Amino acid sequence: MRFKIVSIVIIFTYAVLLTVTPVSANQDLLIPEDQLNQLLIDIENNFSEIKTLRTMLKQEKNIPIFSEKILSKGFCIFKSPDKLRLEFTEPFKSSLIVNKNQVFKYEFFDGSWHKLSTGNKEILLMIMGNIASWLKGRFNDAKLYKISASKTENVTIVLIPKAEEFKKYIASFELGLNSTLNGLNYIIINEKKNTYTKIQFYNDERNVKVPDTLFQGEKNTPTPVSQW
Amino acid sequence: MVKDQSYKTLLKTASCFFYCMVLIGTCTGCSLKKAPYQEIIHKKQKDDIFYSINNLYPDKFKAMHRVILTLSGKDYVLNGYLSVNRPNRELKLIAQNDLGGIIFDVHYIENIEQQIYNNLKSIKNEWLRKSLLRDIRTIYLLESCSSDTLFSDQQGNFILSREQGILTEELIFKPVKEETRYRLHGIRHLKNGKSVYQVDFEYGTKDNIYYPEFIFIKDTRMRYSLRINVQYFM
Repeated sequence: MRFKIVSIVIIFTYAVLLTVTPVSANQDLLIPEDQLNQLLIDIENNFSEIKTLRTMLKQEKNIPIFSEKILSKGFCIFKSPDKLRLEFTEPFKSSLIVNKNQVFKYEFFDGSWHKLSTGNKEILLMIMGNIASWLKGRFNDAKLYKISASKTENVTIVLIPKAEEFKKYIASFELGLNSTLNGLNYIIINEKKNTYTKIQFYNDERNVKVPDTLFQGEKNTPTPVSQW
Repeated sequence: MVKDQSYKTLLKTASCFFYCMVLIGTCTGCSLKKAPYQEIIHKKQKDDIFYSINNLYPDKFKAMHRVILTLSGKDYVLNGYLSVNRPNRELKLIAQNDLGGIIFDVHYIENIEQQIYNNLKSIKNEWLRKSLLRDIRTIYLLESCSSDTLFSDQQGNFILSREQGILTEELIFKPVKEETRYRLHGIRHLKNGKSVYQVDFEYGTKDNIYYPEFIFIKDTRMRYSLRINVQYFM
């Protein structure tokens, strides 16, 4: 009986730790507000050196009804100031392209690419605009988010949506910076009900030549990208 | 002479009646040529089809759906995370936006529970219940019923027909070559002989030959269609 109670307590503690780790671990080493502003200015200066970026990405989705993590792979190409392409290659192929204020969406379905007539262009533009801002090192959007930062090994920035409507979908974003504070290592999207998505970036190449044709969306298929 | 004239009048009336029938048929969408179905009374064949329905999927499994929903001419991409428990008649579905964020989640146990947590103001729970929840129930909780009638058609398909209120549900099976089992290729809901809802299945060829890899749904009454690419976790 005693063993049973101890086991239950251990399991419960472990479960609570697992649930709260992503945010609470950062709270211990919270960067004070007076230092935060300077840090954000420094980061934006460092990131401003990025004119183009190609990076591979690995997405890990944690859904309560799945015991296994759901993995996806893809890549992201960015050309400053306003061109962004986010493409998934596994398990499902899809491509989302933003070129200035235009958005193009493709899905690879039943053996061929299909260009979609997207019904939620404004939302997609807003989200992609956010990602583009983060790739430029601009994290402080006071209208949209409450911002905080913490430092363990590297700096992590936490953005909490202010609008109630936005909060329904996303509880917070965690942006993990690299050790030299000039690039992103990962983004964690904390959704509701213990659901979160972690996107890790790897094999990135900065300031290489990125042709504008990669962001064209007029054709019925996205322009193919050669592997790097 | 009189006989000849009355014959002409009769012919005229008959042609008129025939054209009227064609016109009515065309306007109501009812085909004059009924599909030449032949009822199968053979018990063994009916039992084999029933066996195929009951073994369409494992008892418990999970699946990820990549969905293109087309509504009023616009496309929306969703990711659906689905957990199915067939003996319990239970479904759990979490639908996320393409770039993350939960749009809605559903927990359904037949005759016990029907919980819908919906984040979207523009979509009503009632719409979700009548459309997407009905879709996953139709696909994953299908079961055989002793009152079903089995037919065969000229294309070599086997059609299991059942009445569901004002609708007739037809399950279309094809025999799998060199095997004694049958594969579900489509589901049709008919109202007055006209299809109002259709599901088509396309099976995988490489890693997964037993379960549908692509599912196409078209609901003409609710005016939406779904193209679903499925990845199973079994």
